[in-house]
Amino acid sequence: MRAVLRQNGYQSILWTDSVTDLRDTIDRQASVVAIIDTHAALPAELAILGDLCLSSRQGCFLLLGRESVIDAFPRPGSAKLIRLRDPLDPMLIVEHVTACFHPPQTRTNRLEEDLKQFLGLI
Amino acid sequence: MSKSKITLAIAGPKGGVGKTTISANLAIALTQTGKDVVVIDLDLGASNLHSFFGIKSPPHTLNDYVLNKVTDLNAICVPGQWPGLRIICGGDVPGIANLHYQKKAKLLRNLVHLDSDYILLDLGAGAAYNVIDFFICAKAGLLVTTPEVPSLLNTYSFIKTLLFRRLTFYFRRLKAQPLLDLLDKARDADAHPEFKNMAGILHAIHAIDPAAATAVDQIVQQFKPLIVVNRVKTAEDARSGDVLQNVMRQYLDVSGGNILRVNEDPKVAEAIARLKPVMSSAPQSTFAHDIKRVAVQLNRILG
Repeated sequence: MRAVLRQNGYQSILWTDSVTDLRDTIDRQASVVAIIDTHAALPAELAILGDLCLSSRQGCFLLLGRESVIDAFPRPGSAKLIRLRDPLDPMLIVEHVTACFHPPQTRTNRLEEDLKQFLGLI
Repeated sequence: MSKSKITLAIAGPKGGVGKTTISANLAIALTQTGKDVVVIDLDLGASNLHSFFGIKSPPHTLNDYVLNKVTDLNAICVPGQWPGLRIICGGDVPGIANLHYQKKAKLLRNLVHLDSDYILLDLGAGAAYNVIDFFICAKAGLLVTTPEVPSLLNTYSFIKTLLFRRLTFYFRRLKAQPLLDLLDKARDADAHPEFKNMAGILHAIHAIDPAAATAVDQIVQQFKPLIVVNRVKTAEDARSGDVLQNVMRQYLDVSGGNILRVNEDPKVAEAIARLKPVMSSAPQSTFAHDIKRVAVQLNRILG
């Protein structure tokens, strides 16, 4: 999955054990894709990861695992969360990620993008 | 007994967005909510607040204070035509636009001696330190913008400049040269893209001084500017404040401020041409209603 994302121009990070590392990477890279495999997470870690999804102002989260677990994840504000269900289709995932980072242009979206470009933020 | 005062700085980083129109009419609207108000023209070097009230020859101005003819700001207040309103008209002595730091600090200290519920500071356009420092020292700040990109850009840049100024003061007080050097680097975000957002700056501060990073985070979180989007014509215009707020939240960590909206109204231009505040020349107009709503919201937010 990471290879397909890379081929399509997206950097990704795979959550293994450190939420702090994950948070730091997301804070530093606005367009990073964080892949979280909930199979490997303990209940306490799930709670922390859920908080991270809620509090993150950027990035895109791909959530893998049992449906009951990933559906229970909180819905983030500006950060994007994609719940992945089997069977995984890499190209469909790329489409979802692209939609997260490049949503269809509305006038409001365009204004935000214009501001960011003029301010040299993107 | 002296009143509990709210000093509210009003700035319009891009000129011509209606800042002084809003200052003058908001001052009147606040008196209509039962508050005493002093509004001061601190658009140093380009003052014209008095003209919005139709005052052609003010008996006293800020000149009297700057030239040390008076020491008490109460002495140069001109009574407004509305109960509870006093005005300190701007001065025009040469050099007033570049007020010396000590003079500025003295003026700020003396503001607290004004006996009033609200002290409105009508500041100049731009993001010069004269403007920024008055804004920082006020209890609350209100930024006036229009929905267009140039004005929104200037408003964002004003807030970023203000935060950097605030952090510079803090690091100077700590005598933390490495943090001041870091801030200098962060000013050049093209050369240091990791500092394009506050999270990156905080990360770097944390690596040097974790306690300072915590304090800086608090300084940033406490900054909650009020933003008035003036001259709103469409629903998209009305959303422009939210867009600006979204960008500020993403890149400056500034959130939780309130967005207030004032609709476009031809009565404003008519009132300015007649040298009368809209609140008296067209009290039932859309603008007057919007300003009254802003006054009520301010009392709720700041009171």
